Amino acid sequence: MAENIASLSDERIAYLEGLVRQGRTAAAVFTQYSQEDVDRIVKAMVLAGLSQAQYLARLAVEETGLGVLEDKALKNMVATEFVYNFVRDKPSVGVIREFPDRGLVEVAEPIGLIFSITPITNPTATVLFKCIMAIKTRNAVIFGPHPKAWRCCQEAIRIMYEAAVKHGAPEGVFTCLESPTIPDNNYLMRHKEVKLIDATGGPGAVKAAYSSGKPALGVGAGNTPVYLEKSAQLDMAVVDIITSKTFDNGTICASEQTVVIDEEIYDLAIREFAGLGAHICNEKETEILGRMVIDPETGYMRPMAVGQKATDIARVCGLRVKPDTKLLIAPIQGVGRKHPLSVEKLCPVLAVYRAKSADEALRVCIEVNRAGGLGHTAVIFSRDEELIRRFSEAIDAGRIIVNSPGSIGALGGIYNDMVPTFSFGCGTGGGNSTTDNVNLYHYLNIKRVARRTPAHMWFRVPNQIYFNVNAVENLRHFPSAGTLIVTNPLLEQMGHLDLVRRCIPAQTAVRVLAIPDAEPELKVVMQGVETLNLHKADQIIALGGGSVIDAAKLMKLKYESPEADLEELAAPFLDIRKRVVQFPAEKVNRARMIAIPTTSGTGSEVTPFAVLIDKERGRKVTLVDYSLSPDVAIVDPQFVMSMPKNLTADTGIDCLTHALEAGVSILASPYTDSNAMQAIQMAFKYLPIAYERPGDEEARCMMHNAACIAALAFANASVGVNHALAHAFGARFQVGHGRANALMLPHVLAYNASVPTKFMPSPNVRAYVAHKKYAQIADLLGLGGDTIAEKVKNLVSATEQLLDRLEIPRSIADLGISKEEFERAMPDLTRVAFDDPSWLSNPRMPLMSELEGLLWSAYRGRSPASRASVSELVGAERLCV
Amino acid sequence: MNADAVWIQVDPERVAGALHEAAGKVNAGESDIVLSFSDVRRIDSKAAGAFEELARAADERSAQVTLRDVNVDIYRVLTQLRLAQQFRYVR
Repeated sequence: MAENIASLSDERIAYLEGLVRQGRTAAAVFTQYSQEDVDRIVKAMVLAGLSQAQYLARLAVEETGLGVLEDKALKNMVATEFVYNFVRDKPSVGVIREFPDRGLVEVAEPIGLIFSITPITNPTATVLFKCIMAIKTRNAVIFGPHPKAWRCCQEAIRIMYEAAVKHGAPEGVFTCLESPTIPDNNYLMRHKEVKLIDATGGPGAVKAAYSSGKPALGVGAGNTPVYLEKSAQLDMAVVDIITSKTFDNGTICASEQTVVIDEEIYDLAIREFAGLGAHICNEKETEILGRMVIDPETGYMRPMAVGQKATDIARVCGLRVKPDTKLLIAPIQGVGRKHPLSVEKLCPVLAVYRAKSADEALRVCIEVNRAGGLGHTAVIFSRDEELIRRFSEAIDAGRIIVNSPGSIGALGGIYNDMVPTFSFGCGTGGGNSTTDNVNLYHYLNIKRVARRTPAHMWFRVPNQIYFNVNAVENLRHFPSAGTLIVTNPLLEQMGHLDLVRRCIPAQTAVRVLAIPDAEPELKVVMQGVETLNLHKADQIIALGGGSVIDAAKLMKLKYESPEADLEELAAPFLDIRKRVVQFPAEKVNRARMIAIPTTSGTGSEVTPFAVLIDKERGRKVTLVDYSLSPDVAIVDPQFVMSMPKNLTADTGIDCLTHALEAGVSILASPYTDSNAMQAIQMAFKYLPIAYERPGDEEARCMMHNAACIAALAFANASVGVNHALAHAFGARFQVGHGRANALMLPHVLAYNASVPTKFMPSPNVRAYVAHKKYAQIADLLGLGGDTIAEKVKNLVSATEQLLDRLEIPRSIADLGISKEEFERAMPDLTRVAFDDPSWLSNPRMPLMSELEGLLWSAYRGRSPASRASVSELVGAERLCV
Repeated sequence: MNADAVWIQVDPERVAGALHEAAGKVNAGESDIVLSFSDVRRIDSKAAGAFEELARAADERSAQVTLRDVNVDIYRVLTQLRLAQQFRYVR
């Protein structure tokens, strides 16, 4: 290409630069135009083009010697009237589309200066079409017509230009290369001011366009296969094919090239063709036609045949045909170089093939399509919808025309609702950038204005929550034919099971499954499912701590949806509404689930979470879905009155951590805040009492409620970094969940109150408010302080004092874990903590280094005097103020 | 822009003429010219060409040309023609 350009003289280059300057200036000026301006100009151009349709057709036929005057006139009318009909109401300036429900707006921007190559076969229609597209989209065009169609194209451009400028278009908006040459084209294609190349023409021009390194619309040759299938309406099909293949003497590149006919209708179809003016070639004539129309050297059609009448071609080939012959039909036995007429023939010469089956017909159509027509156009005549579908899937074509003519059908807007065009995108199969019928949208840069999506919030809780002493009595209101109680042996011994059984209606068949008091394994879950199936239970009562309730949730899931794959359902997700793996909606069984917690912390009775332990792989997986939430929660403090002190402390701190993390979560809402704040107040007040005076009924009752209320908050707002760290640390060193949380808590409070290194990238974050919410909590607790910093500090101190009162170790070191051991574990701890989804709702996005820093802070422990400054707790962190 | 600057109020009906006039003054030795576009909504291809001529003259003679109250649409045209940096802008 560079060598070509080198052959240009200085004068020629100056001439080309002049065209570019005009076009560039016009394009720049055009950016100021309004929609009304361009629509007014387009209408004037269309009317001008319509009035000159026949004149331009005559010029084209005279100059090129191709095609049919009447058909070219029709094409010019399609290129103006039909194209106008498509574009007239379409916005193309400024805002062109709005999607209010998605917060999206599309804004059209012109491309600038376009270099457009137009073909010899459809010269004036293509020019008219491209002029209208350009003005509608406020672009300027330099036209490079085929040299053998230059005069008619230049005249079409003049008519369009004069109409456009008369109605206000910028001067210089269209120019036409005089005496165009390939070096001219190459020069313009590489010019920095040319923003787009629109090449409609032969493979050479299209290849040059794509090779230029510029954005290009390059659309070229086809080889349209037609499947004439036995269920087709034969008389219509034959007329359509003749109409299409003889239209403008077959110059439209979408015209039919090889018709594959089912054997059952082959003879009849051939008779129909013959009866309507086709000459059916014998073997010898086919051989001559192949040799004369297709160049045996190149395998491509000879230019002398393009756009000629059937009788003229017959005469040149020495074939004797009737004077009114419209079409030469040549039976072929295959596709490829041995069957020259199986390639594109832009003239009224049509190959036909007799297919013995649908499979053979499809195979031959694929071969024809691959013999130079990839991505372009294919046609099927059939009433068999399944076969039409198979054909559409099998053929690589941008346009599959059904029961209508190929060439006129592909133009769009006449036989179908496709976009009217004179430029057919052929997709990657044809080396093109689009499969579309090229239209105004290809002449635009479309900008998307994307508004922030409003955060979708929710508050989902069980239907019924019964609380306070004797709430268990409400079991009487739940009729059941068969109930499975899932519990653990200790609770059975303590008499809790009997208390529950007494409240179940007498007619209920009750089974009990006592499972180990540990996070459930899959085999335990499956044992429960087996029992449920055996007894056809319609109700599950989970009586126990978080592990028992979690086990029962998973039993219910597998019982109702046996196909549920727990491993797959535990797949990580960023947004519960967009998760890859969906929980099953179809259920083969249905069972009501009632959760009765016997500890005051996990809140599992109202949450959508369930933890499953995978002992073989030494890991826990957490399943999350609101379908896991129990149907009914019974929060009866009778079941926690005898909780041991350390369990009271650990579960109580778990409750407090839930509330504190939900309170500052990026998913927090007024609905969750009210619960979180209430639970924090209750925990600070009643947890030390319940710990120090285990028999205090009020304190027990309030802590039991606080755990459930905190869970209502974190079931919807989730938790944060504290839980991510506690999960990692607790699993590695076998430290209970509540205690692990407690060891992290003051450090995480301080961390979250500091200026984040990284903010959470979430539309839910509208401002950084964690420190302010901590200050609000401090106010709620009456901790004093004049500034946000002081209030946060007081909250951290109050938390530390609470932990001290609960006799929770001050540090990880105090648990007897050596520094060396902790150091060795650190890479795993940070990796596991970072993989934990809990922090996804944290107000700060943690860096791995920050997780490590927090773990080391927890290792060293909280301040001995409960007066630590926040900055001391987190090193050099800067407090948000 | 100083107090001695040549001031030209651009008539929207003859933008190109005003720009040619400014270019003539620059070529005649004026070093500081202010063109007020307060009444001009849009420029045409002739005006765009005249802007190019004015920018060239100002560059050759190191003159300062200030455009007053140029709207964003016209500024975008100058940007696309790579002329925007050749002028100063005031409101």
